[in-house]
Amino acid sequence: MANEDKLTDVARYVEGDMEAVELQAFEVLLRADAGLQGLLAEYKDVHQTLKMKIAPDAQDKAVVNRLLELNGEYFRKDGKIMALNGYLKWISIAAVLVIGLLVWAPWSGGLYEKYTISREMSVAERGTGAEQKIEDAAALYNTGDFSGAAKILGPVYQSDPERAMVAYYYGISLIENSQEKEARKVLLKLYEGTSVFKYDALYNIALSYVKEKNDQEALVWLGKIPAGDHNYGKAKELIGKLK
Amino acid sequence: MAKNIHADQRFIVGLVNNDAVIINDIYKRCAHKIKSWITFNNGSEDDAADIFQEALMDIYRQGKYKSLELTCPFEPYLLLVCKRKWLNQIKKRSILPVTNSEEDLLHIGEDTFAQADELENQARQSDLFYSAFEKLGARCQEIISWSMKGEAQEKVAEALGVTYGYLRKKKSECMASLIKMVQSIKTEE
Repeated sequence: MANEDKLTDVARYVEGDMEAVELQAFEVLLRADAGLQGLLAEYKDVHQTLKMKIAPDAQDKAVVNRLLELNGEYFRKDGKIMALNGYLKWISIAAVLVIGLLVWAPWSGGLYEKYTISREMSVAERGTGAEQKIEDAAALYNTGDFSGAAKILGPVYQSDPERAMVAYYYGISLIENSQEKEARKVLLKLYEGTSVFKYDALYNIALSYVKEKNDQEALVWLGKIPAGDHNYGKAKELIGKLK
Repeated sequence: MAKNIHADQRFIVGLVNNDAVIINDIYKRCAHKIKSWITFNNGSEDDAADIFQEALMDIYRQGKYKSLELTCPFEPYLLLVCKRKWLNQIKKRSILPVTNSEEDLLHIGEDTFAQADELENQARQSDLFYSAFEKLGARCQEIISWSMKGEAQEKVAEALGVTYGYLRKKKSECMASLIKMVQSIKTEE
């Protein structure tokens, strides 16, 4: 059999296009023909390799999205650095410091403001994960417009409640809008899951009670934060202040 | 001889299963190391993120589609894959690395090098197969792409405006042409 015919037969065999009798005959031939076996292996290798490149399935896309979210967490915590020059640069730095002071508000003594986390919503900027709506919400969130952010994040969350990053920032936006009860529903679901936001969600549940001045409940939730978590130090300090 | 699978195979399984805890663990262990190394070698944080993601996706694909079996520890393997990817990038961009690449990799075991070589080899193969695919006619490319998406053949035939019988026949012909093209590129090399 010529190479070309063999190739067509291998293709028809793998793609399930052979009739029963033909299939049986091909399998007999295959057992005896090492060249045909090699061709079959090559066919499968090309098929699988190409499939992963040109036809990613839903699971492949889900992994990419997870990596994009984690990249935002682990590589871009400080956000994008923009090139500014001279005078403009110093004005910007001064403005950032003033905003930072207003947000931190050390003189206010408010424990919620002092111990809050995740003041910046990081969005991966490339790929399918960075949808325009989320980017818009992040822009509002990062300027402190939590009401605007919640309005955008709400529907996105409702359409895909499993998307941990959206749920997390939606939860915080709700706390900021004094919708603590609603926020806790969102954050509790996140805490019960296995996403990277699990313990940050837990910490924010505790903070939502701090904001409501319900120290007793806040202490209960702060007590659940495990020793290895990055919020543990803050939680311990806050427990000391609430007691 | 049967392969001695390393206990760190759990990271491959976790990646393939999109396991949030395991993938987060990978980031916790390795992301900062890659970030420091790439930024030290004239890259940005964005470069580090891209390289890290690319390396993890390569490993994920090999795990899912090629049943990758890890015979070395995962962390040095991933770090080596990332470093090689970045060294290739800076060569393309004509940037000078700060770290002496050989010196930097001395403490890595032979198994790790072999597995990283295999991953690179697979990536080269993938590029070769794709270049063969691109040389096919537009209709064949369309038929192969649709078929690989795993859709029912009747649906694919309808979407392409052909009969079911024609699609089945044409698909086998297109795949045979693709393999022939691959063989011809391999011979040329």
